[in-house]
Amino acid sequence: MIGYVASRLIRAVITLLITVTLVFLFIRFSGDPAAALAPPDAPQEVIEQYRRAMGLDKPLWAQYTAYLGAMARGEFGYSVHTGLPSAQLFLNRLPATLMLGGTALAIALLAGIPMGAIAALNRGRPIDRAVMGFSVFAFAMPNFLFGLVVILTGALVFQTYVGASEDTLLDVLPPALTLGLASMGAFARFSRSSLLETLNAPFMVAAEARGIPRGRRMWRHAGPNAAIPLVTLVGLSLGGLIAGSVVTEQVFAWPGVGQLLVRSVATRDIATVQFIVLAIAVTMICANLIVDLLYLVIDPRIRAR
Amino acid sequence: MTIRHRSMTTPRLVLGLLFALALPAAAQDRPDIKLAVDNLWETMDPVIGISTSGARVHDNLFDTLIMRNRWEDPDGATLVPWLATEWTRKTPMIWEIKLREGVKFHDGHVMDAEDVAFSMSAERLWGPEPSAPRGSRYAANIVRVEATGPLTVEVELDIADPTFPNRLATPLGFVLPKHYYEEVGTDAFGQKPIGTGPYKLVSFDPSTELVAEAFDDYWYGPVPAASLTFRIVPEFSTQFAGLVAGEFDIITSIPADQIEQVENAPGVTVLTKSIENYPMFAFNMLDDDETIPDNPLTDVNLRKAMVAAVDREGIVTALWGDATYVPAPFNFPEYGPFYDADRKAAITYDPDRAKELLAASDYDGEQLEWHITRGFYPNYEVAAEFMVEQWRDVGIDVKLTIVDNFSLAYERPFHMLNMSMSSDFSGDPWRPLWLDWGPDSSRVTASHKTWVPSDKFLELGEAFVQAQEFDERKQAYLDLVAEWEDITPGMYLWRNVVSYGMRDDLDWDPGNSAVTIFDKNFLKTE
Amino acid sequence: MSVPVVTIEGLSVALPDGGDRPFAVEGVSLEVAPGETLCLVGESGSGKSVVAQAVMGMLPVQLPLVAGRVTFQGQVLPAQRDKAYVRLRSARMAMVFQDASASLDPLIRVGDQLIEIARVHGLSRSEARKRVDEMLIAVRLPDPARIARSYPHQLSGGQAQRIVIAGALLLNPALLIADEPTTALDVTTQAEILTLIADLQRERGTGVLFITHDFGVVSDIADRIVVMQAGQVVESGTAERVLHAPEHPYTRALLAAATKTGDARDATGADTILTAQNISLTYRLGGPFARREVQAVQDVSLSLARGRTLAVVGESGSGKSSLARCLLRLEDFQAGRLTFDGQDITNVKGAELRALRQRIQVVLQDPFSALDPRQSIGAAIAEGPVIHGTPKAQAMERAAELLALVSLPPQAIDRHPHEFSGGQRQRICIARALALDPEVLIADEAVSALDVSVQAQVLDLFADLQRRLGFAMVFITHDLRVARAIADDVIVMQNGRIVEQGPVDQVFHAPVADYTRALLHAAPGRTLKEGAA
Repeated sequence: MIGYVASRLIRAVITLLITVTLVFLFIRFSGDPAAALAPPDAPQEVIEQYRRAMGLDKPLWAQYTAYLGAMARGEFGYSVHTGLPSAQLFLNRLPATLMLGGTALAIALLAGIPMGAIAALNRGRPIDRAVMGFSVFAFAMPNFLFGLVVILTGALVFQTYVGASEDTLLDVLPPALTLGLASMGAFARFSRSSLLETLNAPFMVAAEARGIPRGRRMWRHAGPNAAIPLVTLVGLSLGGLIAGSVVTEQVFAWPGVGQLLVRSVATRDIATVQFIVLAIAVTMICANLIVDLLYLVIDPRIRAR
Repeated sequence: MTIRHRSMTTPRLVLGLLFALALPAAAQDRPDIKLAVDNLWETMDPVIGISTSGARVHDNLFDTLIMRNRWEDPDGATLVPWLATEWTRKTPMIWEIKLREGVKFHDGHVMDAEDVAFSMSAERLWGPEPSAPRGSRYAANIVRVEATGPLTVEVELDIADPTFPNRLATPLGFVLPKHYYEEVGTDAFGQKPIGTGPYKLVSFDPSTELVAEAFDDYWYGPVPAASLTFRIVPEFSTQFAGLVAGEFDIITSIPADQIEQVENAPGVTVLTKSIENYPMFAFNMLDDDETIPDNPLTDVNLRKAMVAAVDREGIVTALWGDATYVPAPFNFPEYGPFYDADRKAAITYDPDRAKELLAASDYDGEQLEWHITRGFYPNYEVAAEFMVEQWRDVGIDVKLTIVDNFSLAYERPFHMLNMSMSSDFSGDPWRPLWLDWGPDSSRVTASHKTWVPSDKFLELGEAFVQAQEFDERKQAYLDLVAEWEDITPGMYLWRNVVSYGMRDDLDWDPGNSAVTIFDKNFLKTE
Repeated sequence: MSVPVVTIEGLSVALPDGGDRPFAVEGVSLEVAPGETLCLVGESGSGKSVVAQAVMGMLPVQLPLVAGRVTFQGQVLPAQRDKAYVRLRSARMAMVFQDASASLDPLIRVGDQLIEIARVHGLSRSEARKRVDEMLIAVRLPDPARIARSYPHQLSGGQAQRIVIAGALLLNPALLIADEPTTALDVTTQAEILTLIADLQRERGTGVLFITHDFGVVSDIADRIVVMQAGQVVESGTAERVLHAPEHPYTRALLAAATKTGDARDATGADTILTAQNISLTYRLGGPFARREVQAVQDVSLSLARGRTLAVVGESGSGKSSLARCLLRLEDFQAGRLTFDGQDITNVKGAELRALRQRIQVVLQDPFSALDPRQSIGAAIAEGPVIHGTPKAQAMERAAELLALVSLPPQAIDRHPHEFSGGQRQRICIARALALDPEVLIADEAVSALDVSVQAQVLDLFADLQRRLGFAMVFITHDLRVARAIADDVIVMQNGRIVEQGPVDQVFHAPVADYTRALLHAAPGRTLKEGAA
């Protein structure tokens, strides 16, 4: 068990290092940030000035070591446009994104899992087919398109603006639904197949033969066993939620990290892009680590290893 | 008018009603104006935040010393006194500015010469380490700014520049409160700015919105709207939905291909304005560009052939209707007396002439590469495709390379490079002609340079800069333009366009500008 | 005679449309008296498990009960799947299944699962705990307190089956239905579990309905026997009578399969094709921090003559399959030497190894997963020769011959695996292995997944093909009966080592090692064989 934990931790650290390096390389090799930062018709000396200020005049390896050193010291640089620390820009936006992502995940779980369970318990009936049809639709629908449909339907049909406006808690629902839709479909589908598999497992037949009442069989035995693979799916869907939030925030004018990322990429605000990409990477790595460790808690078979 | 219900307790409601009754009748039905913008700059310092997104806000919070009169003439070719009441050229290099009396900042502090001197000071704009470095260009050649009386300021330049007052209508002319700025510092000022403008800040969150309310002590009152809200909505469709649903009163920058959709929506009008910016492209005419060994564009006949081969009027009409037009080089209406509606470009659309010029050139079918930044100038890529067709018709092979940002566009090899020229700044063609094409311009010095000015161009340019009297200056300008056209280092396409979507019943017109102002000159409530 | 625990009269259960017969079971009648063991014998698909489901009220909707009556202690049982059954199950009738580990919830400690059974049937928490503790002792689990705290995966197959039996008998039911409860177990464990069931039954007077396909087991435990074939009872009677004077040909065939012994064959004059000298194989398991080494094969030497069969016998975990993988050069063993046809093949690589693979073929346990479901039978058989350079047409011709050789109809060549039964698929696998004319065939538990009568047919096929084609065989099996039926020589393995080897008669009739003796003693059906011999 200690070996399991240690190997997961080491894997996480290695992933992080690779990510940090890739971020460094991608940003340097996708065009000169100094030229992009200066106004389009700035004279060469202004661009050179920017370059010196950003340390871009040094050799690549020197930039890389300086970059790693700064990361290790927790210095993530300043946004070149605003002069604010990139970490602060990120943290300013984080609550909005957490609220959106959290609500989306909650909607996806609270709607997706019961849908899947209902479908599994009514296997082959019309309601099963309806749920599965919906889940395919939900999973396949690009959330950019769905978001626009929601926004434009709201405006043109109901004369109601559903983008972010005042600080109303209900404002989060349309974007969260848009963002959570794909995950909802995935959860519905996955929990259906997982539950079906569990319902047919020998221990479920055995439990029936032992005279355990149906309700208890479902909650006490089928539920937890079917839920185990879902933990992995929730961990994986986090990636989809983060990617989707970039688009969804853009469509619904939701002032979160995704919007900041789009804007920072467009303006080639290196420090901010770096910080956001790293924060996303760390989130993903942590999520996977948590999923791995969660298994220790919920699945005794893994604990034994 | 947008009506938003907020919950109010009964006592507050009663109090609110009493206040409403006590106010003058005109103030009662002032609208709340809500704009959807694609972005807000992270700071509202009007110089650090020089940008299209900043310009939508700044003039509502601040005033400049001088104003361009766009409410009577959309091109704003005349200067009107604003925070400055008069300006005189005491010597060729020294200007004296008299200030308006009794102008109040939003905190009640009365503006004086110290505030103006501070706003244009070396430590803020043009010293070795200025707190607002983006202003250095506007402040070029200033060597001294001094408060010489309670309402008198002197500015000394190191050149004789007859156009200097025009600069006081640019962001250089914004007046900031010295006492408050020094008290809170640059960063805090940018987050909670105070100015003398018609609206005072209520709240500012760079990630979501900026809210300002009418400043009822405004010196040029009454202020027509009760409040202004600039809300960030990055996606056009969302802006559009908000406009149709009544959430927003104005949406900014409608993409060219969406204008029709907005026009067809109920209760909404589109305001299309041509503004002081001219998309164009530059020919790479360097003969020492290592990435293009035998650069065919060093041949002036080929360059002229390419200009003559393109029916710009036809393309612009097809793409823009009558929203904009093709200017003759540097003949821009915002330059007042320098503008001559009858002056035509030296090279106009003439396919036969193009073929003759081409035949006279050394060009033998090499492919020319045109670097374009995706989506930066509305309709640019579409126009480029038309142009490529027309060049093909006369036998010139041009390939479009569309990239995602400017630094990629700047990567050689390229034969042609997209760019745009802004015309504001000096009130005459000094900026687009000399600052943008002269020996210190990025056209000549940057890594993406495209030409080396001819000796004659430099000579004529010096004469233009030295000229102090209007007639002399205008002649120098015409000579310089003639030389530019003779060389043809680039080609202008059209005057840039911005399109606003607006509630039908709103009476607002910003003139030919991307600057949005909501004082009584631009926004009519009755 | 007291009231029977359960009486089944004329039970008929329909199969869904499209099945291979209209009824899963048809007109089945039987009864189980208190304290009696009734063995319900038949091959898979004979309908014996459907009878058990019907008694437990657990027939699925797709299998409707269309006729007949089931009475339990003189009372008619509720309708199938009726809620009222919840009170009967465990309390008055209980059931244990073939795979005990799988019939326990993997996420819950086994002690808690036992307590749950008592609790849902109305016992208080303390009563339940007390009852479970007693029961854990009664099923003779070592260290019952520790085992109660274990999760199912931490238990061996035998321990898990004891837990399941403890659960089944926890509330003292009148009827225990045991559906192939020992099939998945090693012979020694099997013997212990059978004894345990018998002892508990005696103490409690439980009626046992024991479902099995194995006449060896039947002969050890049955009071009375009911034989089923294709949903119908073909013979029933006392154990004594059925075992010694079977009337129905099917019963006789099943009995014959259970008592089959090998033909003694001449072992002289054969030359050696494959030898292994002092092979050792160690597996390294776990990640970089939890390294663990398992000695799978230790110092094993053997020699195989052309045309002969060597059986490798052992319980699971004895290293016999690892040994097979070494002989196939699928494992890089750490020590020892392999010789094939006089050539040292310990370290051959590349083209040489591929050529060697052509000459040593393997048949695996599971004929279901061994065949690609999308490939036709002909293509599957011809694949090997085509890879090794035979023209396609010629390879297909050879495939047709091979199908005839393994007694499959010529049309089979265009069919796909799903159209065949397990026994037929194993024949296809054998044909595929023989397509390259191997000199050595390694059969790893090749008949273990097959029903007993099919098993006998496939063993006959192996022996017949060997006589005709002359290849040598290594036959890996856990089943002593199989080893005896087919082998010339036997190696007995335990914990990766050889504990005994020799000619088959010598090892079976005069075993030297204690372990061999224990294995032979534990094997079911000893009395049966002795009677038959």
